Amino acid sequence: MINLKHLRKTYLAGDVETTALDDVDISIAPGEFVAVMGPSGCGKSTLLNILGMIDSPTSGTYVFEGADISQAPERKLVELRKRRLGFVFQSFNLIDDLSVEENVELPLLYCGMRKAERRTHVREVLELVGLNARARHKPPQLSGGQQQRVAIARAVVNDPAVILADEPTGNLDMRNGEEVMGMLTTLNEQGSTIVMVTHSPKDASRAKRIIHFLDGRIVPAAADPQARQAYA
Amino acid sequence: MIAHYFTAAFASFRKAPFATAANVVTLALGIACFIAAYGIATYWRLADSHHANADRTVVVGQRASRAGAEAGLFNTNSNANLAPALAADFPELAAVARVIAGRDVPVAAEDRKMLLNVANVDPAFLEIFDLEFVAGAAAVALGDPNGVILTQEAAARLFGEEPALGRSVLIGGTAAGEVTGVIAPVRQPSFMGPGAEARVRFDMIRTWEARYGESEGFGDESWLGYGPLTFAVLPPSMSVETFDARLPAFLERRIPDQQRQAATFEAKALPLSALRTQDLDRVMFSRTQVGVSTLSVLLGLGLLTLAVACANYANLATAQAAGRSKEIGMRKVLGAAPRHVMIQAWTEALLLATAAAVAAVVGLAAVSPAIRSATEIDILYFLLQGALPVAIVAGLIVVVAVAAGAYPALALSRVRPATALDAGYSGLGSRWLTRLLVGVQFASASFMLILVTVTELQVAHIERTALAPREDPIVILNDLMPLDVDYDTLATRLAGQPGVAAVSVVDRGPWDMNGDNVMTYGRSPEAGTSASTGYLKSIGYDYFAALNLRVLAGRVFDRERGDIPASPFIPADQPVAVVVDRRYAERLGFSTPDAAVGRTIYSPATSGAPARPAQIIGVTETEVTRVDASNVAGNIYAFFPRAFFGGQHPIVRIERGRVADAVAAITGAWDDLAPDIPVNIRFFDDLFDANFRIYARVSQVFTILAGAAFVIASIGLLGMAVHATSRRRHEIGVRKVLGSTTPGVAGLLLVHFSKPVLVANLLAWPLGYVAAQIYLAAFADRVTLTPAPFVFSMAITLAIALVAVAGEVLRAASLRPAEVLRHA
Repeated sequence: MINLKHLRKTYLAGDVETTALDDVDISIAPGEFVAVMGPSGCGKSTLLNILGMIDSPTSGTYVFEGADISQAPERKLVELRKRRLGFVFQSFNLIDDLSVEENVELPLLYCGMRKAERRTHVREVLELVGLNARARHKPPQLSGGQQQRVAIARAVVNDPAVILADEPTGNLDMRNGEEVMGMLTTLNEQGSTIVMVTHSPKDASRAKRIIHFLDGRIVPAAADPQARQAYA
Repeated sequence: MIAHYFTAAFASFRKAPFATAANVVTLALGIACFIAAYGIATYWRLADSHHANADRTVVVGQRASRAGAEAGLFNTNSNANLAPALAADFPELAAVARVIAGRDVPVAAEDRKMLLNVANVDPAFLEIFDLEFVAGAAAVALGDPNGVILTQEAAARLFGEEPALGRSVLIGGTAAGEVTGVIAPVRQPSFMGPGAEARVRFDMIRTWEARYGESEGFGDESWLGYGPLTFAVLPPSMSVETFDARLPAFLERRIPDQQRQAATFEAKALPLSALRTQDLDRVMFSRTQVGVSTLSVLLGLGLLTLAVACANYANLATAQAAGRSKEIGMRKVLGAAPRHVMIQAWTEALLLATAAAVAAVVGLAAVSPAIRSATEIDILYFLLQGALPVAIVAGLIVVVAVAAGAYPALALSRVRPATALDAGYSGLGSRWLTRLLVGVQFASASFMLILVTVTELQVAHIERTALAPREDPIVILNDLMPLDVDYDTLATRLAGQPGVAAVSVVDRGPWDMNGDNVMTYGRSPEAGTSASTGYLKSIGYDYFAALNLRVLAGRVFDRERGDIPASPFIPADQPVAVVVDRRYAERLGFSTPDAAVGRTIYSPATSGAPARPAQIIGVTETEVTRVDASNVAGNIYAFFPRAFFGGQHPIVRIERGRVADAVAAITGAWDDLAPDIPVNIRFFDDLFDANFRIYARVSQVFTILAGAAFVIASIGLLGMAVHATSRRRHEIGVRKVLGSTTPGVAGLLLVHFSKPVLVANLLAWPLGYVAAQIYLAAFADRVTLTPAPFVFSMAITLAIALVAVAGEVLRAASLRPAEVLRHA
């Protein structure tokens, strides 16, 4: 489903060039649950941005569902993003001015789905995450855990091929974190492909495969200080 | 999807109510200024459009330039011989008519007497213009030369509740008339009307013949004098341009050779709709090389203010959107295309522009009565002219929304999701463009403030020079020429009366809106000699004492010398004694007043007449009697107490503080000599105000627009300050940790905000200088353009800018570092 070959991402700030990703090769099959671990600044978020098509690689190839989208125009990336991907962020990134159901329906809105159909889909996913009763509430009126569940609902409402999660439990307490990981695991069992960035070995253990990053490169687990700490 | 845009827009407005209000207020100000300017321009442009023949009616103006003299200004007045000549030479014209207005004509009816404005017209005038008759009929009202048409208001003043039709009136103390019609108030806008702003004011209409007899013109063949307005209705097959092109040949046919050799004659046909603005253009812009009109300048300034408002919105909205960049980034992550983001921004702009337009129209409607009362202009008149004006306002809303919302839309559409979701990201849009837009706003405001300062200085200068050194009030009375009142008798009666300081007589008062007599003289009798044209005044004894004009050299007319009144019957080779003022002496090339005394000057010779000499017996201080610039400048005084041309107006200088006594004395003496004719006492100050009104209006317009631009720019700068300081909170916290004080930080921020304002002023100065020169070119006597208005404008602009941001700067500078850095 996803194939990264010799992927490289550099940033230029003045005369200084910073390499965020260096010669990365990753393949992710449909239905996989992959966790990406590594210390801060190792390139995890950059990898997720590229996988999520909100950033482009400097070199290398990114093949998504058989098509090379490394140098695809923004128009095509937008299309793929709204129809094939779902996003869950550490800080939830809900829009405070919109209600829960309005937040969840946003991807469907941009896909041009009719209102009645949108509402049906939204009710279904809110039922899935147990927040139908809060449909008219605004995000500031919800707890952290509830907000992340709304974010998960928004991520799955368009039935995406891949769910990208960036530290989904980073701002949650243990109980809510467990709840969120439970939902992701359930989604994976139902067939969703999940790529998750995390600092938490416990959360990473839910995944079927863990990729370790260090200084922009994929490294063996032994080389990842977080992994060493976790497995020590 | 559209519902979502509106939902998101209203959510955004609720989230930032003060910012939303600031946007609406500034856009409303800009829109109001533009609508007001457009309303004024349209009001004038639509003048008299309601007459059935309006689109085929032209006014024919004339100009004559004497040989050797500079060409005079083209005006809308014409020679009295023009109308009958046009009617004879152009039988295809549907109608031709003249109108000339007379001010303060004594009218009596039974036991009531009053002064009325009387217009004398050719009967065809009623075929050209549709006046609403409430009594009588247009077809017959002027069939009899003695017929008189009254306005409803004049009829009520003369006859009270009783019908006026068929009643008798006595005009000027001698002429009998019969009321043959009563008309409703002239529908406005029009060049006719009762108000002071009307080109032709009348309470009564009489025939041309009733005033000038059966002769075609004023009773002579001369084409050199101007008085009436001449109108013609073109046939459907003839355009204004075609008719205009035939006028030179017409003048060549009609004007006698002798006159055509003495002067160059021109005529020009203008559409009726141009009449209201032509005179204004002539006064304001005819001396410049720039092809501008009053309407275009007015609309341009209105558009400038609107552009300032749009630039301000663009800046504020973009700055506010910086706080939403994360939301925008997230929307893009979820699949929003750039066009979705742009449409969202434009939806918000459209909603705010609509609210602003509504506020603008409501605000203008509230002040419209006051504006109308002061200026006789209905600025919202155009809204009543069918659906098109409403469509124009709707279109304006769309244009403002698109223009103002373009920059925020573009800036938001370029948000990159990856960077927008970064917690530290807060910038949006280009900083140099932001500062440029702030600079444009302040440059516009500074430009208009320069114009305000220059116009106010010029107004003050004119008031100072025109009314000085007359510390004592001076009044001018009725024209004695048509009355059975002897000036010498009146002067004797007034001499020594309480409050009366001096008495004299003049043919025309200063600031006479009906025009002036002019005369051209040169230093040599030789043909082709350069000559200068000055205003010719026919005066009596004690004129200069009455006006308190200092004699600089030689002498003036006095009884002891036995000066002989000037007269056309004096032999041509015998010099006429004249006094000139300093300005005219300078134009003749005399280096000092003394150099002019005793010198002989000559009116240009023509093929039929030799040059006529005049001898300068004295030079006085300059008497300022016209404000507008002209090739005619300076005064020539001839001793001619009872002039053949023009009138005979007594003037009285009143001792300061004794106005009531003097007025009582004047009224008493007049009533004894002319019991049937009300005395008309007009103060020179009032005459000056009437002549100067238009320039004061221009200054008022500049002041209003400059004020609006400053308010808009200041609100914009304040908004920028709020966002800029919030963006620099972390930096301020770090600076304070490192040792900077609150005043130090405040100074840093104030300098930051001052820079675009200072640069804006430097950009505004050259534009302001050019515009000021164009404005000052309209005046005969101009204030010297010094750096003062420009420095003043910069100081005010800077002060306003700093006051606008002071509060925000102090708040930001007072931040506690720990507070800021903890939440960084």
